[in-house]
Amino acid sequence: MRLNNRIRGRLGVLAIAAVALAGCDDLLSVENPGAIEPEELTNPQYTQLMVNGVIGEFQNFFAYTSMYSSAFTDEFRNHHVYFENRDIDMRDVGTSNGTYVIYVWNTMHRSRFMSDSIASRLTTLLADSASSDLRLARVYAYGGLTYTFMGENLCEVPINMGPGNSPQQVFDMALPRFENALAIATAGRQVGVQRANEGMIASADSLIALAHVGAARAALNNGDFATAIAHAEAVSPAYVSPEDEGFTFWASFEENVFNLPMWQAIATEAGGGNRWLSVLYTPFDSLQDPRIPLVQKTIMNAELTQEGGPLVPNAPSSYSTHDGTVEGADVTRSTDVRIASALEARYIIAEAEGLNAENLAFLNERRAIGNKDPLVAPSADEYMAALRTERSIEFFADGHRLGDLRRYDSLYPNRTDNTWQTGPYPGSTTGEVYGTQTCWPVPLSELEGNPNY
Amino acid sequence: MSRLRKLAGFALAIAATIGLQVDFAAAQDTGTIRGRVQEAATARPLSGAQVYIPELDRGGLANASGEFLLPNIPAGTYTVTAEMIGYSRGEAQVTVTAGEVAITSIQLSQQAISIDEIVVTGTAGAVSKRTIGNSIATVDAAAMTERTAISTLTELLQAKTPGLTLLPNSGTMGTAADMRIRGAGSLINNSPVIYVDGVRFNDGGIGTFTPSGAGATAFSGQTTSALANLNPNDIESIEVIKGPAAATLYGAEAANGVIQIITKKGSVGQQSLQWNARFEYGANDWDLEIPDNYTVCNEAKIAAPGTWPGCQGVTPGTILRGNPLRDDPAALRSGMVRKQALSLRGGGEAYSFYIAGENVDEEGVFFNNSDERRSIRANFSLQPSDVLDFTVTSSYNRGMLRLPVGDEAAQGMLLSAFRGRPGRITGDSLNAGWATTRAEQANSYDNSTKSDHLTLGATANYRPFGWLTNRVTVGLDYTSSLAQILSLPGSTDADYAGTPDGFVAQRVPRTYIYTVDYVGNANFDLNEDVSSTTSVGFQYNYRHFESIYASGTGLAAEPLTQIDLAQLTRGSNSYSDAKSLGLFLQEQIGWKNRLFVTGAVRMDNSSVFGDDIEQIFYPKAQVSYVMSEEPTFSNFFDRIRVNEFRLRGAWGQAGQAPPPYVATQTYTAGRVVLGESVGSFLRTLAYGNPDLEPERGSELELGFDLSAFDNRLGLELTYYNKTMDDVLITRPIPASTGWVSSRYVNLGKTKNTGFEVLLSGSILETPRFAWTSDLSIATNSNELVSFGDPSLEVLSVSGASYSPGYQQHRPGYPLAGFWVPSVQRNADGTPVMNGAAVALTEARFQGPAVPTKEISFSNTFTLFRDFQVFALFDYKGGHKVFNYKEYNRCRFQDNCARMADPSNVDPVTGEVLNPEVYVWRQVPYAYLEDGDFIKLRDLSLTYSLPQNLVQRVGANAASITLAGHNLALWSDYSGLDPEVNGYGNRSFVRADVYAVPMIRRMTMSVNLSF
Repeated sequence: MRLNNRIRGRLGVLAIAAVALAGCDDLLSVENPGAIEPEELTNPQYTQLMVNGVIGEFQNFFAYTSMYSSAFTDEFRNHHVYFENRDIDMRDVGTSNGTYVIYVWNTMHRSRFMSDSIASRLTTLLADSASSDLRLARVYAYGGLTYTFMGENLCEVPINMGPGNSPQQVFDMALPRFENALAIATAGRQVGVQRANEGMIASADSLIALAHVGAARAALNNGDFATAIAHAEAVSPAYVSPEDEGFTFWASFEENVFNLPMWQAIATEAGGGNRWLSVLYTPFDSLQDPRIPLVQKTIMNAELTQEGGPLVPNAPSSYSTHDGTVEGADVTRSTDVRIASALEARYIIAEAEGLNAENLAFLNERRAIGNKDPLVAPSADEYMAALRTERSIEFFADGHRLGDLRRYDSLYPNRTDNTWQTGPYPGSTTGEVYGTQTCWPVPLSELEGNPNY
Repeated sequence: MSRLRKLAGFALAIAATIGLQVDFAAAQDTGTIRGRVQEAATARPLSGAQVYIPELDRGGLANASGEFLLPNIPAGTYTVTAEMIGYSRGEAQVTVTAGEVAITSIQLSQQAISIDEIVVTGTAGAVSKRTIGNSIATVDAAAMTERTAISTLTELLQAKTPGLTLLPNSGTMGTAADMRIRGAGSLINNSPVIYVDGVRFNDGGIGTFTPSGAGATAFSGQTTSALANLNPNDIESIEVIKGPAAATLYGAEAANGVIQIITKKGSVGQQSLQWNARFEYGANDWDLEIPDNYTVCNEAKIAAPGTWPGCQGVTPGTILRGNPLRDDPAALRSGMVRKQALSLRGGGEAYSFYIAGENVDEEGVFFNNSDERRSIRANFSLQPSDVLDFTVTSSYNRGMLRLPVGDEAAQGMLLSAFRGRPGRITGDSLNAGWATTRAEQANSYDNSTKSDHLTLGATANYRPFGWLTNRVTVGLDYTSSLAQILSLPGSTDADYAGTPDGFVAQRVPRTYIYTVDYVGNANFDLNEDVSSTTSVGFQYNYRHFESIYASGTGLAAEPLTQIDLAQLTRGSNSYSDAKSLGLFLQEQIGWKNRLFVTGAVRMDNSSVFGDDIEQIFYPKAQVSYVMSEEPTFSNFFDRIRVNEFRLRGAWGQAGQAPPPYVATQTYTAGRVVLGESVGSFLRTLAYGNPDLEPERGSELELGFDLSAFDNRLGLELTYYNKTMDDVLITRPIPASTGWVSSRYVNLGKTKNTGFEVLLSGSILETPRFAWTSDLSIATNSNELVSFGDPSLEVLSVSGASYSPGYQQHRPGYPLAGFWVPSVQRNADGTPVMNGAAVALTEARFQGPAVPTKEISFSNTFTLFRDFQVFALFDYKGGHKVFNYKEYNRCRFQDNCARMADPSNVDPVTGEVLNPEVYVWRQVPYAYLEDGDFIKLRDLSLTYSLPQNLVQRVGANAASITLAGHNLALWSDYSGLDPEVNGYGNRSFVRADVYAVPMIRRMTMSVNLSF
């Protein structure tokens, strides 16, 4: 009897355990209200979310890359106390430089992946209408721009853990994306015309112009002047004059959504404890040009600064708060930054065609904005040098400079203007010198995790 | 305090009502036993001793004067026993006559080690140590809190148990310590699991904003812990279950060990109420010498009066010295310590209770660092019958913590002070001598966290038959905080945060931890010699976290600090869920009550592993053999005067699950600006790894317990060999995939081996003088055995912004050891120079970053029965500390002593006279120093007031204690304190980056018992 009780007791507890085990799937179910699983993205209701994903990731990388590449090139001088920022300014970026990896390398690849994967998903999801759907055209256009930026900025571009692609290969990858965007947007425009939908037509026109500027930029970087000129000339509305600069396309920022990162680096309102970029020791120091308005501001790490602080830009001409005065208007958290423009297309033509009367007139027109005397009968080299300098002012701190310097190295290796900063690093007490990097390296995370390295 | 009294009265009324119903049957043919429990050698009363009559299953607790009262005892002769941690069991024969009071006295002798000590093991009911094959360390928390100036659970555990390492990181009031048992085996989490009365306790942070000095922008720094919400005065004892060999029954999260906290309770049968009041007052002080900053006034400085006013009118080469931390009265203070505690214990025939409340106000040495805690605890037990009892435990804590600017923040007080240069002005002329902000500005930083912590638990024990015991525990641990950071318009912090118009942010994190635990034990004897205990159990844990964050930038006016009134508002929230379920089956066979063999297996499931819920099994096996009771050996042990000798061995496994959601690939959404409008956009979130498994810890533990010389000498020796397989390593996903994150993979293997020795002795026992001593020694050899991936040779410890790459994980070496180059030396010891640069070797292993050897030595002296002196020395060593602060001073600020020494650098010409200067200026690794230290961790003197004096005020006992904590430091380390770490919120990174040294606390307390 006693043993029976024992057995009953043991069976009882085992039964409880068995019941618990049987129901464990329910007991262990959890919620994750902040996540979507990949299979849910086949649902058409997420189409706009996916398209926005491409835009959002692009704007994120574009804003950070523009800022850090400005520090990497000669556009800005770093004052940040953090060594990784200083290494960026010195062009001595280690493969484990977290600042670069997080804000440049990672964001670019995120944008690249999003545009490629969403293009693929939308093509499937939209089926027959894909060939004229402006959402897909937009995805391709942003994808092409992302590839172009990658080629301009990165030393090598592995894709999905593949081998490293050279910048030229990456520009070649950008062009078909622009072509897809052009084809789909053109077809979409036709649909808009058929439906008399003005909004659709305007949207298609904007995408077509964006794709043309992007394609021209990629082709120029590859030295394919004919293609560059063809696309640049197709941009509509075209550049006419400083008063009528034609097409523009912007990356948008808003104070309560995603601040323009440059705000903290240079804006007056950001406060001296946070500002960390000035034009001290750069070719832009003491510039008197309304396109890069400069004022003295207190700045982080005051030990390196003169009385009253170094010169720091207010909103340059690629920024939406630019007001055209020498003092300028402040950069705000909501300042938008120009991505592409007919002005850029005109500069591409001026560079690809070289010196001719029209291009010289254009250059002098732009120089006049900065109160510079017109060039009179310049040599081809003088013309190109002046064009390069003017371009550096027109597209200051908007993500062009690094690609430009690399292109100049490739196409005009013997130039003496618009070169990299070299020699002793200003302000160093330990004999540091500028590094020799001319592009962002492949980071350790890729080197270690990518079997092709 | 009046509220506490009302609550206690209410509880008493309930308890009395319950008790009266049970007591109603008390017969008239009974008498009373009144007695006293005393220490045998000194006759000192033993408060809290458990008095028990086994025949009647009746008992009670001795009060503060050692007295106990057992009423309603049927007439007859009984054996009354008394037990207490650290003492051998005492007995007295008592004859009870109806209607009369029998007087008795029980003497307890100190016993260094007892193999019959009762411990909690994860199975139902109390278990004698003799049946267990692993070591379990027990901390007599009640005794320790009475006689020391400790303030938190981590201080209570510090240097009390071999193998348990506390790394306190910072002396800032309210910041958390790292806790490791037998070394680090995991790369993601090495904290043990905490249970309080069987309920899983939150040991995470309380949601404090990282004190950065820049609004809500997070630098690294220190972290906080909900463990600080546990009132040490409420703790009766703590059991440390050290590793997988012992923790198998605790399952999927126990690979790092388990800490069982047992709170104070009343005793069923106890008839008298025991009031205890404690009042403690004192101060927290910075008692370490503050080094001078130096300025050598050279011609350049003399020529710059705007920047160097202090160098005006002096000759070149004049040296200025000073440190604003010492010279500015707004920098440091003597922080007040004020504690009041009141507790009530009691019980009746079938119930017992413990009710306590405490109020703690502590100030740190910075003017904006304070910690206020109010706690209340109510524990009730009810035993309606011999087969059933219930215990309900509850505690509530409200805290208000204010933290100063983070140690390493640019606006931090210590950074600004130690980078300061005498005679120099940075910006504001009031900042003279400081590097960034002055003390007044740093003190205006306002970072506060209110926290509420509620823990509820209910345990039922049901013994339907003598051979069957069932225990069910359900519990909830709930933590909620309101963290706020406030930068008023125009304040320094607002300016540095880039929000000159002011900034306010609030965060409300909430953590819910549910525990359901069932264990059943079936005991029976197979024959006269062989016994069997079968245990079956299941545990269900559910941890839910949610947090809401909101911030407002641009405050209209100083008084308007409400977020929704700000010009710009932001908000976000976060959420996580994790559930686990485990089942176990254990069989223990005993032979003649001296040989015990145990085998068990546990199966676990966890929601962390995503859709593919896996069942993971953990086995264990143990043996315990009390050799001294074996007739074959007993004569031998008697001859060598060994009273007890037990061999033990254990092997077992336990796991550690990865964090929630990491197995699943997911996307999320963000907000994007689309021209003139705002929309949502898709983002990648987690790459996921559906093949994840938990880390699996395996441990072999061998040792013996010995008690000798009439139990006056005790020795516990344990060897452990602990490995962790399938170690979770976060591997970055190559960003070329587009998935910008890292993911967990089961790759590596780690190993920890070491010895633990606990030598306890009652060295001298006379009526006027007694001396007991405990010496604890622990070693730990930590090794990363393998990454499990041949392509991976080195993994730098991430997050070390001031010591990048200095700490690395490398196979064959300790985790996160220091790997840096050494300076190449000539035969005469001078550095080899390559031009102006010091020649360095390749990076080589310099040493581990955490102590590998720990020794604690405590002594208790009892003089003339009423005086007791307690002293605890704590040694840690065998590791390195990176003195970043000094490196920065010498390398960048040029304000350290060695740079101002005229024998090193000519003060007039600046010529380097000592080649070591090149090393100090160029080589950060030269500041990697030995971290060995000895601290006088605790010293106290307690005087028990004479009984006749105490009774005049109606009390049973009273004592006065003078106590000090962190009183002295002996170390060759050149920084302030080798124990600090500026990266308190990181798992492995360790460096002295302006962290606040451990502060000295001195208090006087009065204990009154009624």
